[in-house]
Amino acid sequence: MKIESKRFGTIEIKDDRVLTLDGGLLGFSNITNFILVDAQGDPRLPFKWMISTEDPEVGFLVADPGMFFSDYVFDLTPEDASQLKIEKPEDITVVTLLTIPADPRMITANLRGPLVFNNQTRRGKQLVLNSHQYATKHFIFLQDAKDELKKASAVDAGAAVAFVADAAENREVKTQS
Amino acid sequence: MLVLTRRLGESIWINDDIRIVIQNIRGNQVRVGIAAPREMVVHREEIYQKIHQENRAAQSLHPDARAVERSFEHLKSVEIPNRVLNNPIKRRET
Repeated sequence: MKIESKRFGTIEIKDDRVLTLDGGLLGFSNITNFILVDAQGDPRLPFKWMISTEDPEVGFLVADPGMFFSDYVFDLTPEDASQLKIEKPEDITVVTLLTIPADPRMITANLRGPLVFNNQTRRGKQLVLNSHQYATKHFIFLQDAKDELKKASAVDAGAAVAFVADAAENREVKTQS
Repeated sequence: MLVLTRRLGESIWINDDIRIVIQNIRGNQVRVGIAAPREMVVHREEIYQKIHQENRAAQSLHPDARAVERSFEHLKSVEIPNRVLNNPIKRRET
């Protein structure tokens, strides 16, 4: 399969690499097929582009949440496991969508709505976690966020600061077993 | 939209497997009980809205993928906490 995209260039990929998201993403329900492409073509970077094969101008930066949040855990409900035909924990790949603000040091990960894929079937879905432990914005580079917080508080002690503090706090949330 | 008036303790059935009960009313807050099959997905609207908004934000902010990738040059100097990957799925105790 050959994909032509203004944003991502020309990508050639084997048809069997395509991932299917059941129900699509909230807000993009008409787009269900994606491919994962190494950011900068460098598999060592912890980021990948998840690009729609139906609309190649739609793409998301994603990462393995375990790279940045080693204690991130959630329940996979039996319903989701059976929908995705997941039998063993090894069958699963979890990725989170990243949001990139103007300053890339302030990238946030959406830990509330992770994507779970079955490696065998290459089908997956976006979960909406009921847990209040995780929010839609967690800084992945905590120290940078804290530095930025200091700068921001020198200039403007407004809502942005509260938001940064809040998200920085979330980053350190310990999960309960 | 179908609109029904209910009193405290009264309920509404949807099909023959979903029951919604008005459990408590205090001021402008209503406590609603929902009895539904496990596979039915029930969430507060705000959570859905948040995920929806965040998905759109994740897609829309940077139309130029190359510009984002160039910004990774900075990240190469940042220490990425390259930890052992954990499978985040907690095994359910059954």
